[in-house]
Amino acid sequence: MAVGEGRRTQLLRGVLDLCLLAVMQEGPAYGYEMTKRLRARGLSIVGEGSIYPLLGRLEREGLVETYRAASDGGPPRKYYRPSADGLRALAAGVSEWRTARDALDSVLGPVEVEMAS
Amino acid sequence: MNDFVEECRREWKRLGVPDPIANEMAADLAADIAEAEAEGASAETVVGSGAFDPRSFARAWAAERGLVGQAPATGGRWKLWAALAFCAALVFVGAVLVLLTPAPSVQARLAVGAPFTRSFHFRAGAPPGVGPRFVVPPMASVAPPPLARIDAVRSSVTTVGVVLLAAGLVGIALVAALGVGRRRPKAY
Repeated sequence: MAVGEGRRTQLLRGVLDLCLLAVMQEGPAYGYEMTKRLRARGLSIVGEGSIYPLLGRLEREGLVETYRAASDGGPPRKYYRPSADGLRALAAGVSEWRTARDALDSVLGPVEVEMAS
Repeated sequence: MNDFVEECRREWKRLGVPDPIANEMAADLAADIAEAEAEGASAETVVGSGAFDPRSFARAWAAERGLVGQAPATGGRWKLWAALAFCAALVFVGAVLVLLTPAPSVQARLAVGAPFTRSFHFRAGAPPGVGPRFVVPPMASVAPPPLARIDAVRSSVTTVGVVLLAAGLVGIALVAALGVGRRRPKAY
């Protein structure tokens, strides 16, 4: 794995739970549906692991609620939506993310590196 | 991709995940993979790098859901507990043998230790220099006295106790290491 890919994986792994809570806040979703919502925003999980173990952890920690319902023309699926605790965790996580992003931007934002060819 | 789902199902069964939950997870996974493939996407789109290691993927998912070790009736965890109990019994028996068996007496050490082969002479029932002369054969060729035999048995029992104690402790360490190793699924 290239250095850039490895860093991207680490960065995504740190906030993927927030991303999942964010996309299911838009509306209840089953596993692959969340993958598609993330991909539509440019976040592909190919090579980054899977969302299922993460969804399992969110469920175990009571941050999501689940129910089964028929999908469009397909078999019944397990839908996820944030619980009240999940929404609180999402709000706190987004606040932490913005603080970290601003701090990192202040360090990395002004950097311009010219490589000698 | 059915092979992938079946491999996951086997791993969940091995881990003791209750059948209804394992079936539900397998059905969700199969439906998602089928939908992705119908859209022309690869299974890797759904399960990420776990596509290449279904057992680790299944283990991680079950562990994150807190399902591992909940119902080990058909899984392998009961074997770990049985092995642990067996090793603990070995330690207990070994400790009892070592602690409750007295150390061999000095006489026993003489009798069972290096053979005492030197012969000697003495005269019985008469002042020195008078009467018949008896020759006592070398001690190694004589059966040890009862006390020495008892002490020899004690020594053997202590040795067996030490061996059982050591084997039990090593076994407990191995079982503990194995148990800890199985609780650490690959992170996804």
